[in-house]
Amino acid sequence: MTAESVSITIDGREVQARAGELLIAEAERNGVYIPRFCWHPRLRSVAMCRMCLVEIEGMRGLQPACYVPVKEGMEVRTQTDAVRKVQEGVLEYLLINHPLDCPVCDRGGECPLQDHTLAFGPGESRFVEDKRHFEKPIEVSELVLLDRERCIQCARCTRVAAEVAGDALIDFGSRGNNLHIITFPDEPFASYFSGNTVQVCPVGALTAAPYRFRARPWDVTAVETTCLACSVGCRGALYETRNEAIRLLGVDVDCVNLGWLCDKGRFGYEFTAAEDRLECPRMDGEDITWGEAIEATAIAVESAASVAAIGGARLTNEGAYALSKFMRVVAGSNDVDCQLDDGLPARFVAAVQDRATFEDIDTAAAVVLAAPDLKEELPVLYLRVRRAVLDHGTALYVAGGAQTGLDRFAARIAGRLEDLDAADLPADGDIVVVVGRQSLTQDPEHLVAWASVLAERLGGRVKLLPVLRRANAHGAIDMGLAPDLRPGRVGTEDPTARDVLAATWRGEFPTEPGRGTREILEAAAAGEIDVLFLVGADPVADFPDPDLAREALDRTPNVIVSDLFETPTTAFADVLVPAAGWGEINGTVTNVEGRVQRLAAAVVPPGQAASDSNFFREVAERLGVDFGCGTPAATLAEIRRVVPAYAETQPSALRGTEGKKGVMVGPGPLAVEAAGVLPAPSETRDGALAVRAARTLYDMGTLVSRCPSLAQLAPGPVVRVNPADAQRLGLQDGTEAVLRPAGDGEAATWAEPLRRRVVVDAGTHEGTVFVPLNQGDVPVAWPPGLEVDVEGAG
Amino acid sequence: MSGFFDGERLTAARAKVAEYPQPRSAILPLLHMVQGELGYVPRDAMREIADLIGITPAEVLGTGSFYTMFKFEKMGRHLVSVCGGISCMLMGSHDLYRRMLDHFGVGSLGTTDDGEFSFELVECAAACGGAPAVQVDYLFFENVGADDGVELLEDIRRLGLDTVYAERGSMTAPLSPGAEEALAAGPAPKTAHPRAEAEATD
Repeated sequence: MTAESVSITIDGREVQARAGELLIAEAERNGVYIPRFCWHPRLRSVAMCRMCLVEIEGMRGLQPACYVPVKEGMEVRTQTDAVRKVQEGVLEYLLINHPLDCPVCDRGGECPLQDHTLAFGPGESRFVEDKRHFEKPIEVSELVLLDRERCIQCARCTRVAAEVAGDALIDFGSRGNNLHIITFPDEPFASYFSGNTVQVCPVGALTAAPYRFRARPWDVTAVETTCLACSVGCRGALYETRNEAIRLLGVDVDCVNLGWLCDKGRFGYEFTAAEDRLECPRMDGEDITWGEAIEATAIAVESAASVAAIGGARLTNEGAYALSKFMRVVAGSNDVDCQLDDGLPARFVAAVQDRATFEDIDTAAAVVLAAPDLKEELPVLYLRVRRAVLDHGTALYVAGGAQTGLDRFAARIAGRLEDLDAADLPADGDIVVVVGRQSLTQDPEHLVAWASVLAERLGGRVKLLPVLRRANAHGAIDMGLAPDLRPGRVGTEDPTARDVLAATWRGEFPTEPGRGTREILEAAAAGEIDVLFLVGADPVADFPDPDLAREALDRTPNVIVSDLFETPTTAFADVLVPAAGWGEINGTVTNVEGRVQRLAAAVVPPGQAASDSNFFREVAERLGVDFGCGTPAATLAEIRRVVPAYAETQPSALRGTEGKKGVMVGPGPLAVEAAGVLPAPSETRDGALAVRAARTLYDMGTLVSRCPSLAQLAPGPVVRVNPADAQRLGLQDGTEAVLRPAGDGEAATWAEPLRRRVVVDAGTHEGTVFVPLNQGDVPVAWPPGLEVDVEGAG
Repeated sequence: MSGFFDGERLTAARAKVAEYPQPRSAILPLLHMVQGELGYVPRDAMREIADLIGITPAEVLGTGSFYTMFKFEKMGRHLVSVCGGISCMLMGSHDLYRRMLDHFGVGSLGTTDDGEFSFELVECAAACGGAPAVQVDYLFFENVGADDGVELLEDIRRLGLDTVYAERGSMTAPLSPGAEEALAAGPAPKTAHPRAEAEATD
């Protein structure tokens, strides 16, 4: 893959360049900046702006450096009179119509056009006539505003939309002096990736509605951090002004996000400034001090026979580790689970030895998606898979019944997992199998059994990528927030690992596997749990059996909740403590690949909100345990000692240019065991529809509903139905449908039928309905294998 | 739900898309099909074109709007194009245009209430010798003075375009006989340019 190195001469200096790469990029690698507007390293060249013209010996006229690949012996001059004259000319031309409203423009101070004008411009304009005027701004979407008079027609935004995101909802309209960016009337730029156009715009023509007029570049500070809207772990720069998070920009890292962010990640910082943040600990609804909260929690734990904890996927690795250690060492319990039953068996995730990286996707011969719709749940991973299919010719296979944003590129769509076997896949080359829960109604054991059989049949060519949606779920599992795991992807029964832990943890800790979320809640509902910790977890709204969750919380004498906001669950809290979250705490997180990256604080948490690590340490110390974990750095140091796979996560390895890549975690001692024979898939009952109940990018979840820009984009309580099914059932687009569990089995446990607005959608597979979760209506149970009868209301 | 492209039109459109290695090359031919029948391209037809080709409606509009002779709003029965090129402008075409608009009470690019005329000021119509030039449905009227425009259009309204054009239209022919069929049939097979042949024999 490494390109051949060639010698070229730039402005009389001989330098080494990679053959076939673009001159503009190779010059920059060698310290020569050639000015540009339309060229962007992540987009195809169009050579439209003419700003990068240079002289190349032996080539007639000036050549666009963004369009010429370097060759051995090429002689390039970037500073000649002819080049300067063109640069001055291009800038004078651009400024004929570009307004000089820099003092009120969002881009002012960080504007490529401003900078280039200063560095390469003529200094004066001969143009004295009126500039163009347009009505402004145009809302091209709820998130992106367009000031057409500022546009310099570089086509970066249209290329991001079409090439990168596949959402060509903006384009150039008209021509010449009237050329401007358009959307189709009544069809806004509703792309999940629209914010990227704002980031690449070289002027202030596109601005982000949440950021517009909020700050000037010289009044902000930025920290480099990791997005936690999902588990992809995109690198970003979080900007703050006057202790308010105001912007997240993508940071370009080859191996993670290529500079892109989805809009949920980009604008997801808004929750940090929400007015209804929890700011003070509470007991039985009354404000108390932290000391009282710690005391009450300590007393409850001290006298408890049975302690359990649910949640932790939203914590940093350090927070998750503190919770894991607290539960094992202080509470003496393995009843911990971070996934709330919408993920995969943690043991399987921990046991995948040769986990695929994102870069493996770039070079794979085939990618198999037995996973949720990446576009909805792991959007920037969707971009990478899309790029692999379109640019690298990777064959794509979709299996398991989820309709996905990538279906149109699939070589084959297998409705059921069983319909895709090793023999269907390319005979040569590496194969990446992305394995994730496609629906709450999908049996995760069946999914991983299928994946393990497929992996065994494909042998050494296959790499699995188990994907969990929740922000730091992978880090939390690595830290042992699973009933049958300890920190380091190690089984609770593993004696060697126990000895390693014992040296640091001291004290006793249990070796028998604990209970998962459902078992914990069932035990709680039976009155068998004395203390239940809910850490950034909202089982009443976010567990596939809300009745069980309510019953469990009602019966548990001490429900201790740590969260950022009030949720349906916090109403059951005996002690409620205000947590500090993303943007407010330092630490590390681990993405789906097992890549450890830094999380940085940009703002101070509101009120008395504090990190979860602090809370657990304080309770532990109150109970006489020398807990350690005083700071994130100290906790990470302890993690390095206790978890061999994290040994390389020194602070120095996570900082600076090299640190942008993060540190890949090595595998643990467990291995995936092929399940042998797959259980036979069940047949759908006559007339009933299989249900896919899964997340969409925007919903009314705890954080998204506190981001005003995003909450408005949730699809609302809808059900998506295939046109053929809609016709058979007499359902019209926009009317209300009533969904009831089919049959009379265990599944049929809804107190009320679910009423949702019908969206007739050809993308939904026939014989299924898609129910987006968390859309503001009353949650219902989604047991595995659920089928529903659907009829029109009234 | 029936749109523009159904029955034979749909068959013809699919055949047109299939002619090209890149389906999006069919954007312009399909826009021509629609405008040829309706006189403009309605939004729904652009959506249909997008579906036929597998692109977005924004791309159809983006491409189509490059060409000012594609219309995306319903036009009047007659399209009045006043030349705003330099010769016609010097000879008073802006004044002519303004008086027409004032008389019929519409703005630039507007259509009269009775749906008779739509107006536009166009770039050079290639009739400098007869400036100021006006086209009505792309038929030329030349040397139209600032005072004559309104009368011309009132006559067209009263007597019909054919009658008025026969009497007052310029010599500039519209399309030569058979040209429309030739356009509809698509590009002719490539043959050498006659001059190239002549040069080759020299």
